Amino acid sequence: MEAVLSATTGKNAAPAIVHGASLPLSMVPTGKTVQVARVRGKEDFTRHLANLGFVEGAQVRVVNQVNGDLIVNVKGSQLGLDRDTARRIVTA
Amino acid sequence: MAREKLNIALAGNPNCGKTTLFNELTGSNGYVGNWPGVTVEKLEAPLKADPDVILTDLPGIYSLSPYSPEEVVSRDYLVKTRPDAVIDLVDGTNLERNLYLTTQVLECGTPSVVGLNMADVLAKRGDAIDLSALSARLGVPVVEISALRGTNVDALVDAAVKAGEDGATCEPMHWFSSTVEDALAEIAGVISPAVADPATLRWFSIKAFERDEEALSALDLGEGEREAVEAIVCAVEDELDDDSESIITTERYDWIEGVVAECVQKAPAKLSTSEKIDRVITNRILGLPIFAAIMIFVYYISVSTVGTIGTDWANDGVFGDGWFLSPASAAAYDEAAGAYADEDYPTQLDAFLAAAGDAGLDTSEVLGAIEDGDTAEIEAFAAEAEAKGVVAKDVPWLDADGNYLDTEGNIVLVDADDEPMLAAGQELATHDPITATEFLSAVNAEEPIPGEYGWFVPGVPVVIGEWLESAGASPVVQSLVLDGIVGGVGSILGFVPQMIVLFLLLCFLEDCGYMSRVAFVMDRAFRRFGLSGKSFIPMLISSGCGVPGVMATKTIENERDRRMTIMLTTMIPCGAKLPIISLLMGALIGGIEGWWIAPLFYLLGVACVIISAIMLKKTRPFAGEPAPFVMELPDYHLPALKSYLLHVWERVWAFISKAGTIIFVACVGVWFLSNFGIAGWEGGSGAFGFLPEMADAPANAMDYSVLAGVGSAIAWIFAPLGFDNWQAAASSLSALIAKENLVSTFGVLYGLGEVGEGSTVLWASFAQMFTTAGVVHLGAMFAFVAFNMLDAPCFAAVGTIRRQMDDSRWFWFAIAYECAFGWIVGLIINQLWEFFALGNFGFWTVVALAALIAMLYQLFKPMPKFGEAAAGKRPMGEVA
Repeated sequence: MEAVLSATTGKNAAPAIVHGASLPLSMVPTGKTVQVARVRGKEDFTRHLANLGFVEGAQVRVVNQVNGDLIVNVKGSQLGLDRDTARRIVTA
Repeated sequence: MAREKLNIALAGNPNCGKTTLFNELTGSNGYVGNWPGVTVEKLEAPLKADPDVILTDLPGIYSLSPYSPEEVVSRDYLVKTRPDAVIDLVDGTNLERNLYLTTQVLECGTPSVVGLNMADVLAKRGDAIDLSALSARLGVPVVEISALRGTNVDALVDAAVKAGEDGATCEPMHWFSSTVEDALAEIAGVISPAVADPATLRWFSIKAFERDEEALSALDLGEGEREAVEAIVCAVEDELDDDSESIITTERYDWIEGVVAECVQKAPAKLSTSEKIDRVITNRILGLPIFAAIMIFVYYISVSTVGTIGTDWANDGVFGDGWFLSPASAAAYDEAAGAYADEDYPTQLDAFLAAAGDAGLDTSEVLGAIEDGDTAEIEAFAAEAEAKGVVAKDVPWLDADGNYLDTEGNIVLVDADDEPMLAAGQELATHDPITATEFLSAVNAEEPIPGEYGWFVPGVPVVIGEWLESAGASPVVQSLVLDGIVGGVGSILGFVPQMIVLFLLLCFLEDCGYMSRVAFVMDRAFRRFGLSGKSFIPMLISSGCGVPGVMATKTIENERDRRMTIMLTTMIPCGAKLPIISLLMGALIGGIEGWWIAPLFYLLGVACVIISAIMLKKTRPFAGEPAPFVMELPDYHLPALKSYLLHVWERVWAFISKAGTIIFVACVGVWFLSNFGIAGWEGGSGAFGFLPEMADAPANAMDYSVLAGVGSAIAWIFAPLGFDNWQAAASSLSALIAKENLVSTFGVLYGLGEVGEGSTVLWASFAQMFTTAGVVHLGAMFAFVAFNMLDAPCFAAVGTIRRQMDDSRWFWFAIAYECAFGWIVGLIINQLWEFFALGNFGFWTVVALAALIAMLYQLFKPMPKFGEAAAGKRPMGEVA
């Protein structure tokens, strides 16, 4: 299982730019559609998100942003995500 | 045709219309909400059309990998219990997400049928689904229906029954890449000897590939087989460079994407209405104000206007004297009764008799004459009094509640000796001098009788009272039925109209999809003190009534969060606690001017929830981040009328049925405690019995009741909080039946009869109870109210907590925590007040300060580490 560190590093920490253009979902502007690269986090958390449609390559559209919390459209339905969850979804 | 019963399970995502379909097919009382995961219990009912077929409504779930308790329930049912057939209901407007579950359901091998719901909405959107292609790809029949309108549901059921009777195993389709399918085939070869039912072989193969230990525990796999499977899985993982579970999930969605691309013709995508609404409603600036405005409206309607009219009708009408069917006769009666009350005849009568007594006349005879309506004697007395020149002057004018009035018509407060307290320049309203003429007209004035105004329905107590009277029931039985049962249960049922109005509004907000947005908007704020936004809905509902509030916690998946919410949600003042607040307001500052006290106690409730949440989060059982907030926000829609009304009814019924059971028992208990006792007064017989019926029972007979004994016995507990008299302890006890009982018990204990929280005499008694040596003990007063706000809720809510906790240790912990926390808050309030206002310092001051410091320490200390085992693990159905 991969180690997760950045979730607790606070908002001043530099955004995790690991592989070139991969952005956490929390930083995707409203209205834009992106692809999921992977979800970081504990196993049952990533599994739950994968079951909800956050699988590699899934198209995610950001419907609205409220102070970092997101409403997104994935696999045809709308989901509300808190900021921490959105941060752990890495987009391609 | 004779055949065995057929079990059909109904599976599907949350909000796919499953429960609506269930209600349509069975006509039963399941209910549907637009709140993901609204059905947690398994619902079973026979089909309306064919009672031999039993339909089981499974909880709404997204997948069969057990993340939430609902998923565990559904999976166990499908794989272990194995129904004869499964109807998998699919929301056509959201096909990709829904088919994800479908693929897993089909893997279980049970004969299945797919119901394609909301196809009409889809058509309106301009999308089209090729049913035969979809059916071919899935390998099972697909039937298009509308659960809402009930169209085509019979065809769906027929298909399911046929599938169940045929018993043909659902043929596994090739869903995964060839690499994975090859591996699955290999695994199937390894584990097939251990799989009893060949229909489940594919399911177990996939679970073995995913290393799902929980699923595999059902199989008796040997060490060698396990190693063989592991080798196969590792090879695939190396080849595809991913873990096996992700491979399955991703490929599942890949396959679905292909199916959807082939079977669905999508109209060009545009911003949906729901998305447009969401941009406004969840807006970072407007979100909260919109929510506040909606809630103010909801409470204005349900508490201040419509709901109150309904509750007044129930309390004063159905469970009071009676009510009018026709507004015209009601108005006529009200006018006559108002005119009668305005004249304040009883006061005039008493004052004149007192004056006559002062003038040396014997009034004892005439009292009897008035009672018996002996006109001749009364007139003789009046003549005699007139001859003596008896006139009563400066008689204060009292209103219908017995309150003093000033010349402006305002209510004047009374002090501890029941003397009016006048401000400078204020004068008491008085009657004109009362002479024998006024006396006669007062005697002859007849109080209007509602029954004479037509269209009058007598109240339940009146009817039952007359019936008991005519049946010759003994006074004990009459008292038990009227005071104990009808009075007690009636006071609870009196809240029903208000509850109906409140839940008509709240359920609408839930069913139309707004509540899940509120949870989303509130999540940020709640996360700061360790709860997720999902905890907000129960607290909101609890401001109406704690019973449905506690029940609403079942939608919180995370067990820790759910337990904490159950414990804390009843600290929010509910509707029944409002009379207590009104009483305090009246006692403190005489009524309405104290408008700020009510919000103060709501604030206290919210503050205590927050403080408790933060403190509990730093203890081992509750430690850890609140569950990540991921919640489906279903499309806004107008709820289907039938399901919506069932939903409201379910909420209200939860409340009513409690009144019929637990409250019924409690009412009888308290009636017994307060009416039975030992006649220990001066000259009393010393015997145990029904106090009101004892010869020479004094007016304060209740002081000798068992309740008084119990109250005195536990009063020491409350001594540090400043109220160590038995009345305060006893009314706190009776408040457990229903919080507003505190006020009525007070009235009874002080011999004031049935007075409401609007009586100045009650205000004065209340203030007097907290007055020692001429000082009104504000600290004790606030401590008393705070304790009663925060301690264990009423029995109805306690019963619900027991059910929702589903664990007696957690239940007792919750009750103990609530009582202890309420007591400590009361202690701190009282001791700090005593220290600062009176300069008292003693043992309890030290205890209070220590408690305060301990609370502050617990609040501000850093989050302790409980080690990876406790804090790192998400509690997923494990027992803490």
